[in-house]
Amino acid sequence: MVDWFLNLGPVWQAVLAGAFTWVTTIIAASLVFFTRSIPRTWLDMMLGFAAGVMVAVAVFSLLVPAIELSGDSRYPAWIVAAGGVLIGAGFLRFIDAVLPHLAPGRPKEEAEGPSTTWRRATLLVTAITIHNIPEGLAIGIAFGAAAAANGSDAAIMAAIVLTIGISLQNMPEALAVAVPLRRDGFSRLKSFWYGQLPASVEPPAALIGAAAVLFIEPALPFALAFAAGAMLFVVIEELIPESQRGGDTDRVTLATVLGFVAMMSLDVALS
Amino acid sequence: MVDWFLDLDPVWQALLAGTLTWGLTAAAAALVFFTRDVRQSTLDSLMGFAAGVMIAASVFSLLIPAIELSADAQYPGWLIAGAGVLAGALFILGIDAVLPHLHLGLPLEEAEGIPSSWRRATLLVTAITLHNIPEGLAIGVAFGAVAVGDNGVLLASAVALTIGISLQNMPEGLAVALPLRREGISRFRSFWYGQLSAIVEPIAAVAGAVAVLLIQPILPFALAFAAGAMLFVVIEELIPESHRGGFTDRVTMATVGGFIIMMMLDVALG
Repeated sequence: MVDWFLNLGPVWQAVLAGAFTWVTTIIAASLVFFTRSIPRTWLDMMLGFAAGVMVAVAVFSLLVPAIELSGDSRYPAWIVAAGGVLIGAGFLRFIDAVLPHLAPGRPKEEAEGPSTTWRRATLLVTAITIHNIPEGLAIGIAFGAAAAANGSDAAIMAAIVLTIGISLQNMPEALAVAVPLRRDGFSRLKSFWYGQLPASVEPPAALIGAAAVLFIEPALPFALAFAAGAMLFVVIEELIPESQRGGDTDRVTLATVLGFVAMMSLDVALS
Repeated sequence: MVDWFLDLDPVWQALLAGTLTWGLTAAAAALVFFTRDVRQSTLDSLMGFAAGVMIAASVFSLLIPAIELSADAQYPGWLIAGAGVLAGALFILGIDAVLPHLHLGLPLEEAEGIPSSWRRATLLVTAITLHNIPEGLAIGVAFGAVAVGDNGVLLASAVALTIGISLQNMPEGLAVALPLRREGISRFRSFWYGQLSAIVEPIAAVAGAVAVLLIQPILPFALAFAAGAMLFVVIEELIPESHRGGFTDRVTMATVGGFIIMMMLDVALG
């Protein structure tokens, strides 16, 4: 099974990895069939944990390889990395501005993006979908990077670690959509449906990321940094401020640090 | 001048670096003599910038050297780095729980820590002081690392770290001084409280350097400890605080900007 996966083409690996993150999201969202209320602190801690995982992914799984890979390019390593991060963050800033969305836990009046008549559930889904696009891209780029490095063990491990980390952090996000909807009186099935929906963009985004890297191989360090910038934007703009709103800041912060440590350890131990 | 600094004892280097960050804080706080209004969105963006600098400093100047240095230790590198980060975060959590302090923009009733009869200005200063302890420690540990590890890459990291922390202290100095000024406190006293928050930096820097020199084998752990303490402050205070004004997109881009500048400093110098 492992050998079979390692022998696949990078695009297939990326699609499967993206599908894996979606499946874990489906499992998490299905918790809504069994319970209607999960304490706010738990949800905040899970979101915080997800934020910590994403910071470590952005830095250790994406930026450090980007800087190392661009060591032998024409431009200084820091220009490629800095440009990639800036453009990745700018990309998300742009999506944020044009796509109507609503951060979990806020009243409908606080929806961002152009004004719209979309319903609250749809707006919640678009908010989480915005997170999942850069995550899927990052997974695809990482598998593309592994292929560009001739399938080196370290590179493929980094891609797998990235997939595990992103799956972990998708789970609380799914609950952050499904549980409030359920509390607002939506049926179990509909809450579940909306909870898993955002993660369905991960396989296509992963496909695009992998294909992009394979087509323009010299862009690889830039692409890695781009994905890192997009992920940092999501963490700073949404995950950390959202998770800190509930008031139990100490516990949530520790959960964030734990997420960071867990992902850093995974990355350093495996690669 | 550069050679002279390089030849100094690491404890002196740490003390000077810590003093530099304090001096720049004082310079920034002195702006309060000239103006009373700086827009909230500007202050928030500056604070976000500081958060970005601290994230990149924790990772590139502290954690990556910690992981590299622990490659030849008897425990795996990730264990030392992970334990150090957790211990550093718990350390700040402990101080957070004990030291009375008040976050900017909140009413006096929401002061954290053990109950106290301290005044608002004092509580604002202790809040920023809380940030500055890990920063000072980080500088001290980084210069201690140069002496112990004896290599140029570490020195570049320590210098980058000092520059980065100085940069990000400036908005913090203003962030204390301006609200006080707006509340009607005199120019001089607003300035005084603004710079006071950074006075712990040289002290913490010396403590960090001495600790590393005395117990050399703990160096990788100490670097990770400082990183964990800084990350805690960023996650628990700087980011949420900078978003309270509602200018989330602009502030986030400022944070990303701070991250990029610190990353470039570290990669270009190292």
